[in-house]
Amino acid sequence: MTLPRYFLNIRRNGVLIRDEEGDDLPDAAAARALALETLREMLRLPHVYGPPREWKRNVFVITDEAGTVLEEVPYDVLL
Amino acid sequence: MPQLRQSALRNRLLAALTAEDFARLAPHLAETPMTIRECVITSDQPIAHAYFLEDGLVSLIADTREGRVEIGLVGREGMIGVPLLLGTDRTPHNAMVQADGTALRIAAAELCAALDASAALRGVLGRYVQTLIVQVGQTVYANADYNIEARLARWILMTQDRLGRDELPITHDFMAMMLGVRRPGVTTALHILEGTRLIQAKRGRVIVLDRAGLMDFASDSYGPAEAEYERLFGEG
Repeated sequence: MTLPRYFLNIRRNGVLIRDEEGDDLPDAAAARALALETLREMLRLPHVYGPPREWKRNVFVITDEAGTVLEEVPYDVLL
Repeated sequence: MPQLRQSALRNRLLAALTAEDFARLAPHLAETPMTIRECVITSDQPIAHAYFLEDGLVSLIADTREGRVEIGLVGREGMIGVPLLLGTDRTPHNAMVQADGTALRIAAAELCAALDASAALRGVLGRYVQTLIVQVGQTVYANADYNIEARLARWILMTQDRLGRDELPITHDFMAMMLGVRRPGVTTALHILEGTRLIQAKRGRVIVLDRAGLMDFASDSYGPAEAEYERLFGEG
């Protein structure tokens, strides 16, 4: 059985940056969990991702294979 | 099996050998296809063969509980199987194909016998180990001091050097592994390099548009390892 694919697009300064490749995940909750894990990593590694002030207004826009928006996760949700 | 002509080979190490050393290895070299995701060396297992790459890309990888991180990149400038040169038959790291290609493969025992028979052969391949140590050192430096965009720029340059073309068959998963980050973290870094017209990113591909611009972006994380290789293996 193949897993569905979820796309973590990013909205930054009003521009939607498309996630061209996505991740194969069991469900939408796992896609949200991946977004949160990525944000925790960004907080943990400011020398890699830059300080939070540079990215805290970005938003993950999670879509499914049909392009339907399932959820938005603002980057500052963990701040 | 047609006889191999040294001058027709793309692998730069084989090309750098004396005719006598090449003749020593040639009867034992077999052309082998390399397919993406194939593991050519598995951690802690005896290394059966060394691979001199003719085309394609292989990553040396540390597998950790947190995920996989690339620690070295090898293309037609190098070989897979360095532990054999250093007197041991295994390593804790994996070597995995990241872009399809071909290699000339030699059994470990045949390579070791040739090394024992020729100090000149050991010298050439030892100098390759030096270039690999410098490459890994530059990666440590880049990972300590550079942000994700600069590291991505450096790695795209290194990939282009090894594949010798502008269109690079690389996925987000591979880039995330080489950067040691989660895959969604790659999206914005690619977007920033695209926004400055240095690359064009497509699904499963990156096209280099402005190599000089990428070099500016990578700053001195890129260059010393490449200069060391050219010092030891460059023409003239």
